Amino acid sequence: MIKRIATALALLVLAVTASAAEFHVIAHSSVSATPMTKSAASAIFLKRTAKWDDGTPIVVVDQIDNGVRQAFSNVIHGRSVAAIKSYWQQQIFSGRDIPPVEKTSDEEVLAFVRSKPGAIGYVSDKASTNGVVVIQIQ
Amino acid sequence: MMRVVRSIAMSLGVFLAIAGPVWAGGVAPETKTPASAELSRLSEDLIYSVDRTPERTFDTSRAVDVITGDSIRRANPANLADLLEEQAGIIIASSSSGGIPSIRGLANKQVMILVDGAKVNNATSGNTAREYLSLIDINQIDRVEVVRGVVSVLGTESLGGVINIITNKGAGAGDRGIGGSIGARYASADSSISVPLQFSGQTQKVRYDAGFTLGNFGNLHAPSAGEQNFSSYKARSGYLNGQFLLSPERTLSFGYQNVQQTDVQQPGPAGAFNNAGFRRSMQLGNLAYQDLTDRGWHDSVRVTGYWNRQWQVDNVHVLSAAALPIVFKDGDILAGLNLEIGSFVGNHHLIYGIDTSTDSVESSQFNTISSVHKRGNVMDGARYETLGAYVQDRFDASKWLTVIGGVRYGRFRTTGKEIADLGPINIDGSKADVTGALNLIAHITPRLNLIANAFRGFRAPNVDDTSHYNFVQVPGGIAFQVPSPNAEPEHVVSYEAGLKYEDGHLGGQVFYYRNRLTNLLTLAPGTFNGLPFRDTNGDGIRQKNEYSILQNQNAGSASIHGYELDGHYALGNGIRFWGNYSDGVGTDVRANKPLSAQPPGLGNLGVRWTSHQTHSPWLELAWRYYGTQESPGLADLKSVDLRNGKLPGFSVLHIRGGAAVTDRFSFTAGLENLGNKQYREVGSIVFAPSRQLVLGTQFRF
Repeated sequence: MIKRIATALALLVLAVTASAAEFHVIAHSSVSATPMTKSAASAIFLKRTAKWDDGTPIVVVDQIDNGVRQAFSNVIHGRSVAAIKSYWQQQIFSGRDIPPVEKTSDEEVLAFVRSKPGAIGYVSDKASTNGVVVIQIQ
Repeated sequence: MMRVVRSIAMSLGVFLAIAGPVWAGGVAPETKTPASAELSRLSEDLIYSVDRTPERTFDTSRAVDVITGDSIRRANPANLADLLEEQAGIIIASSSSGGIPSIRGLANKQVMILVDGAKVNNATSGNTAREYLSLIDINQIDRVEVVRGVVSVLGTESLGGVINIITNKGAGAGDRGIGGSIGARYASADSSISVPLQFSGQTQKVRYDAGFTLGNFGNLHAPSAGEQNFSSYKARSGYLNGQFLLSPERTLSFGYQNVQQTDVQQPGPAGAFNNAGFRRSMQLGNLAYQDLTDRGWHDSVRVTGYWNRQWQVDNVHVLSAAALPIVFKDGDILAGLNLEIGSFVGNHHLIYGIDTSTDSVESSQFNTISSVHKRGNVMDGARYETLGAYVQDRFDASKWLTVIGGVRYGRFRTTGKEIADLGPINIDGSKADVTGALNLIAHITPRLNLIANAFRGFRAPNVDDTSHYNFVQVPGGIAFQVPSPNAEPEHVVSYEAGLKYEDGHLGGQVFYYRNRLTNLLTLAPGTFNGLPFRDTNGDGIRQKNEYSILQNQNAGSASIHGYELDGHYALGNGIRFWGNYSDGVGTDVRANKPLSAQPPGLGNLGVRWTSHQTHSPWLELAWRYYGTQESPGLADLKSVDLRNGKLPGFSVLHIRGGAAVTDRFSFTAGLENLGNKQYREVGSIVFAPSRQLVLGTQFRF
């Protein structure tokens, strides 16, 4: 039994490690490319941090429920997409905040981030990141 | 004198509504930011009451309806009963000051009413008149959520359904941070006027909504019956609801409401008393803490404490006595606590928790003729305690199938002893049972879900069931109801099959249900001290004025099945259609005859045009159909409108409209019961209003 649990945990770690390389966090070209921690990134994508250091409002863009979002959610939030969606529905229902706008593809996210000063999003690691800043996650 | 007071009140209300813009001049108008408008739009599609977590109505496994604040303002109802009447599958038994909802043929204590999670039904809800729906100030409501059918895991006692009222907590205060409104509602059929005054405010850390409402309701006029005596009353209420926003994840919510009704009239059973004049009130308070911080072992923690105090004082004028009344005073203080934790584990969403509540009952009667104090309708000093523990798991078994399963253990304890005039009564007892639910949602397409549900539920007997001790009206006269300390819980096994569709323009749900109810508590001939009659003189021989004994007994068994259709279609250009239809058949299995008071086929159709131009005018037509009642209830048997033992059906048409005249001032106007038909729904003791004009104004400051 213990062996099975250990195997499952090992697989989980592998899956998370593998998924960590499946996306890039990108931002508008005006944003400093300073690396950030997972918790700082999580706070931004949950709209708990509202402004960049220079005071520019942060504009978050998310993706629809796809493989990239699942990888991002697991690595950055440490929670499933379902848990994050539930969090946003709680925020909506209590009249506190609305979730970030969702885009259906990497191309849409890239177009959004390129066009909006202060924007931040994520795309798969296969997507071109021309015209945006890639932020390293520590 | 009454008319003069009414005219003054009406004039005052109209004056306030019209003069408001003048004396409040200079205050900046409320503006809705794009973010708050989006928030409002997104929240309309969510429902909380099914899984105690907000989710899209389309994603739930249950037959549900959400009535938004916007819909409430358009309908401009006198009270919650008027509002619910137009929802799918709900009928309202109208009484002197409100109404009692029935869902899927079950009513009264079998339908759970909640305000922000606080139980409104208490341990004495039952045969005495308690029109909860008029004891909730409608002006504080943000939304009403209706879940039809058995709720057996995240709550109990709801064999027919749940009506959850969620109050406004100041989220609409706008960017200015503070605001308010004053309004007036006038209805011509009862010459009623009510004036709500409301304030809301919001800062970074606190938001609140507070209000005060005065209402004066005259005798209701019906086309043939004319002015119906015993239907007037006065009401005043106040409320304060709000939240401390401790952090983005942590919220402390609070709520308090106090509704007082006076001069409530009710005709009494023929031969016993001629009328009862009521004073009654309900105070509800709740305090809830919610933490959505992810701590690994949980994603949400919620602790809710609530308090509910109700009392009712009846001045009963006994026909055989002098003019002095017998004064009944029935009260109940209910306190409850719920701790609930939500966890996401993989693709499983677990909800588990415990809830507990305690009722303390006060009940007395004072005979002003003989100056004698006695116990009231139920046992004075009785206590009723509940304890429940539950767990529910929602998970995606595959891309195509979501499974929700849950189980609940519930324990109920009643305590109380007394020496009544006929002898000793002891209601000490404890009942426990395990209930559960299994719901399957098949995702046929992203827009279409097929649903299959199964439930096992129960409702434990409350203090009213076990200790009621008073005269009751029965077919053919009067009897005397005595306590039933050995009453057992009512059980239900229920199955549902449903379909939900939503594509953004066209949406709806269809549900078929089949309920098998056993151990139903019904009033049946019983004995007290071994005698089948009320032996007041103790000689063991029945005298003329010694009434038959009735007792709640688990003698009922029923089968109820039916279906509900509910849909809407947005045509574009601001035109929206909606409609619903429900029908059901109830059978008293033991007697092998139709169950009485079961709703007939009934439905609603409506169309609304809304303009997004200046002043946002809107206009709607609402048509209600109600079929012939084949098996009327006890309350209907003496009614003048029975034809061959059946209650005739009806259809009525309402026209409503409104506009925002300025940024601050808006109005609604309705012409209801356009055909001026006399009608009532089953169980009602008053007819519905004749053709009437209903006006509403609101001024925001």
